[in-house]
Amino acid sequence: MTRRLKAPASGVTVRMYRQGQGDCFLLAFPRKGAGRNNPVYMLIDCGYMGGSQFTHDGDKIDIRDCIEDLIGATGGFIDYVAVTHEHLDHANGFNVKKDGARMFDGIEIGHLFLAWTEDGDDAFANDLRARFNDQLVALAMAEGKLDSAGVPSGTQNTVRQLLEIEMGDAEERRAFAADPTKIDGLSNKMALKFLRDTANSGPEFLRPGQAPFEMAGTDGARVYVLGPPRNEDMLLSLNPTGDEEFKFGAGFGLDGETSAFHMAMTDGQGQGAISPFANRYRVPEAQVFAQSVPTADDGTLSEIANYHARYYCEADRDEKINEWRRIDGDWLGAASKLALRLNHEVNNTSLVLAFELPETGKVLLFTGDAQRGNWMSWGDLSWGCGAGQTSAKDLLGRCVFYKCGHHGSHNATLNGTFDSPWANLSWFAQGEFAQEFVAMIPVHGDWAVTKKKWNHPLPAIDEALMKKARGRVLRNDLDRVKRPKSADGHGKLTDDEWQAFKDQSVEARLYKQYTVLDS
Amino acid sequence: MSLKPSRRLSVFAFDPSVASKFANKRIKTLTISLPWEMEKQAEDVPFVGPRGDYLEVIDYDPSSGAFYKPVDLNDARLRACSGLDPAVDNPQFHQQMVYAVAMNTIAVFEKALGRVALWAPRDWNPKDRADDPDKGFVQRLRIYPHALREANAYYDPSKKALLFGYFHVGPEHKTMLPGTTVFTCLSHDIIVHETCHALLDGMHPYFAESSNADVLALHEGFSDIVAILQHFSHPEVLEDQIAKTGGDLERQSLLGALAQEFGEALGRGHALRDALGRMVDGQWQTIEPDNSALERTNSPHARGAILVAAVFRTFLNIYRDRVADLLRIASNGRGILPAGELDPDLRKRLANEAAKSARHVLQMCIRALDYCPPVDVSFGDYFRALVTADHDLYPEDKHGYRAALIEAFTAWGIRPQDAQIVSENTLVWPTFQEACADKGVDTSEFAKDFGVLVRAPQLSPENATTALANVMDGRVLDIVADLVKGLGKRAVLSRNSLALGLSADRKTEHLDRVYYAELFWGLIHSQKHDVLFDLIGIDLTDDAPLSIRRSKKTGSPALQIHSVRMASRVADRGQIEREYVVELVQSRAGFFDLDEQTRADAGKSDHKPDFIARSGATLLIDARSFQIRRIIRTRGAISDDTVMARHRAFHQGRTTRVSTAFDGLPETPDPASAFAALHRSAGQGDAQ
Repeated sequence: MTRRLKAPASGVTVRMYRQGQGDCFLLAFPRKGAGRNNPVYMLIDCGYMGGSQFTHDGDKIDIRDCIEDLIGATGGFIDYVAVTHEHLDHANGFNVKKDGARMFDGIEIGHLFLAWTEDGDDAFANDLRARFNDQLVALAMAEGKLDSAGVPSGTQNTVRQLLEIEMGDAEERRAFAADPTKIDGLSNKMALKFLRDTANSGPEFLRPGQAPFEMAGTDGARVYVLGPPRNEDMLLSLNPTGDEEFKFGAGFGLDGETSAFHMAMTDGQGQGAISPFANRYRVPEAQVFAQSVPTADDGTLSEIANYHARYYCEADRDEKINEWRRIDGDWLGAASKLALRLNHEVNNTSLVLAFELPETGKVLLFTGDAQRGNWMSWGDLSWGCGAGQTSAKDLLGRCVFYKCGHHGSHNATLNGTFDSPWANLSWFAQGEFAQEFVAMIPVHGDWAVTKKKWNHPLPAIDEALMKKARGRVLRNDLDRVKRPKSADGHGKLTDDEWQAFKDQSVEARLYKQYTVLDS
Repeated sequence: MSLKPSRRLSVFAFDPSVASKFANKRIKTLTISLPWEMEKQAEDVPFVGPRGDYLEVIDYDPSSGAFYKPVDLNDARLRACSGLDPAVDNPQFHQQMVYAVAMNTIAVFEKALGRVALWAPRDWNPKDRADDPDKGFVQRLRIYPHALREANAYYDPSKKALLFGYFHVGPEHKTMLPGTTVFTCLSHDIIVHETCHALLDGMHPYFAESSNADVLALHEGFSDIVAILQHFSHPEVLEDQIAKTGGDLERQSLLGALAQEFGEALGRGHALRDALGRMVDGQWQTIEPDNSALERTNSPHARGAILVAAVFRTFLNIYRDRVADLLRIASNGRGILPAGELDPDLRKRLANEAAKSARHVLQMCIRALDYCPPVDVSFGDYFRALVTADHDLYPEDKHGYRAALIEAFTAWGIRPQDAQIVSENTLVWPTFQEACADKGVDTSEFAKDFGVLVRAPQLSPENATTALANVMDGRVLDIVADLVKGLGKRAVLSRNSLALGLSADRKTEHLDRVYYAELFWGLIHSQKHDVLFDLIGIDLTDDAPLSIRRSKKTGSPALQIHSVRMASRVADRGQIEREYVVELVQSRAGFFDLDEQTRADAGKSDHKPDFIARSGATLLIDARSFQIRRIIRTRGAISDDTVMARHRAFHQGRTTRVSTAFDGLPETPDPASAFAALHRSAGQGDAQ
């Protein structure tokens, strides 16, 4: 049996599991009156991308080992569970089965936190979900067409990968495409439903700007909610521009009309959508494809009638010398744009939580996969009033621990200066808090780069974090944090600081762990 | 001169949304006339598709499961009246419009360059050419007017095709009716823009390969520039605009606004890429040049817009200067026109001056493409190319055009990297002698004709190819002989057909360029002095880093010459001067990890490179004397580690690790479809 995860006498211990590329963070706060051995546990997300598992000493780490450890570490009771957003790599762990039984069935969950976007009583949230679901339906149907001839392999891969994150495996996606009312059968939906049914209380829907609250059972650790923003513009603003961006990253903003594409997918049910032109101009494709053209030109009429058969289908040629120029599937490239946008929009609905420790006011920040608009919205937040007022800038200025957003992608950690009006990395850890800034990146870089061509983490962000933390960055995909050399340009870490970091961190097969001391 | 009449075809002057506004009733449509010489179609057989010498329009709409009947431009009813009348609801008019506008763009290119335009070969890698008798020749660019259902249109280099999309007007649109369909193939600017991508790719295939923030931006910006300036070749539109703006083309004008319909339907309020200015609180404001704007963005579209702004400012500088006297004459010497309508004669004269200025700037912009380095091009390089091209054509800057250009570009912060002094003298690419002097090469150590690739002063173009063979060294000659064997076009190639200019057959021209590339490859390899290689920035030494691609034939670092072009110009005494434009490229495997790079440099890496770096030079070589006239180098040679460091930094900072694609998609799109991705992400950096 795994040993329980203990809390420090004061402060909090953060354990980042190594189930693969994805988030699974277990926090242990000392329980008031009960001390270190019976902490208040909080679990933030549990999921991973298929195929992204780590190998440790030649042994593949199975997410079931991680969950088993989690069960042992918590003694089977987790006070709080938060799911930041509905993506596979943050939620599928809750569905994982071992010997036919869902592993989380063995865990008692006290209270569930979700973002306001999951609130069925919130009209705005309902609109938003309806919009996402519409897009899911179109995409699931588009996926069915991807196998037809001529779809560029890049499009196929992009759409499939993104849809896996949104919906789950191919079988689940097919079932959904066949009957979109069965949306509850998708992995992420199942995971959330399970948590809602299982938690002793909640779900509690958190909103940015709501009053900070104390976590029951702790010695006064407080939770601040920063995102997702209630503002539609911010929710749909996905990518940094100009100075907000870590340099060299080619930003990209996606917009444009997709309704014609939607119509092609959802009208006509596979019989071909409605053409914008009158019937008299049209020749149904089946007729052209079936045509055989006489080798010799035999008159003016056939030249016109046979034009497409001859030059597009090459019906009169033995060698298909122009087949490489066909465009049968290129229009489905729009699906990858749609899928990517949806993916980013869902990331942007991430629940963003800051935990404030009672004694020193140190802050730990967990951003899920929040992208640009979510970050941009924090700057306007403040809590309390008068002398007791806390602005987001005050709060983040005390941030000594940052869970790097979206596996270190270019659009989920903003750049800027302390004077920039938007929240950014330079706002974090001011004054004495700068001394102990530490970051964790839940990422499998090799896998992301080689298998997915995702630049996770973006080298510029990795570098910025290394610099700010002076080398104290725990990455899931690196076995050991190396003591930075002064030559690295990360700033010098004193022997004491390095020793303290080593004392407060654990790098094990199944997890990386770090303790923020509240003193 | 042919006596046959031009083919005249009607098109929308801008796009249907502009045409539908009552105020624009005079400039709704245009008639484009295409010289018969360009498209020699017999009149007594149908001209279907249209499918001509340069283009084939194929109207397949896969998302609707339908083909649309092709138009026959030789139909007597259409020949008699400039083709079909502009109509949004008739796909046959769409076919006619994409054909006419794209052909017109090709004509502008050919006129500026004095030679026929070629599409990028299907695969221009010489090693795959061996068993292809056509050497990858692509006769026709394909145009699919209704290929996509999205707000997008792009050039697909892997298919050598233009794909246009159509989409619906969004629900919150102010000036267009929500739910109606917008066709990108009916926008004059979008058609020109995409055709330019294809033409530019035909000249510079490596300009689609992003190796610094400017490469793709140049593709975008250049295509927009041609689209804007091409409007000015239509005097009826120009006159109407001059009337509306009182002669001041800086004021809000359709001419500066690209792709009106496309941008409006995307809900950006007005034009997609606006080089002139923007609406601020309902007021039109000209954008003041900002010499730090380039530092703030890496997006190809945003950077491209800065290039457009600089070229447009050049145009306005020239136009203002040219009309200053007219304005003084018309205002009794005050130079300020009275308010109210312009005198119709003055309007005509102003329109003429604007057209002349635009034509000159457009020609400068296109000719400059021959003066760019072959890879890794930057705005600074293009700036130098512009100045050099104009300098070589008009050694004296009588009208101050170059001064106008330099003012506009520096105002927008465009300058060669590390240039301490920006002046005409420092901008013009160095001549061979200047390059020698700057490198400290003492040319007296060599024969008098150092830098002459073929030492045969009496050489005439007619016997050039034979003469070339005579001077090559034996080993190289064998290789070249092997390469050109089976080319099968000896008869055609026995004379210098690259000098045929606009009367060349395009397929022959293509084969000639391939053949000449082999010849120059041999010539370069026959040179005896390493110092020459050093001067032109190539490394053929055997001890060069092993990460530099090696030639299978020589075992030494590979040198790629993918095509040789002929540039001609009228010199000061009216004689035609011709020179070869020879582009040399070398490639090197790059790794993010410095230790891995060191291993690769020593030939000890078996990993797939993280990126490919390329360097090289464009040489301008006098076609008569075979003397290298100018050297246009990339920044640093291939064996230079600081070049590698710059490439590395660029690729590492990108959101996706791909060496050829240039977008933000998490998955590598097929490299060939990079333009699709680029255009799918259009508007990046526009927000905020």
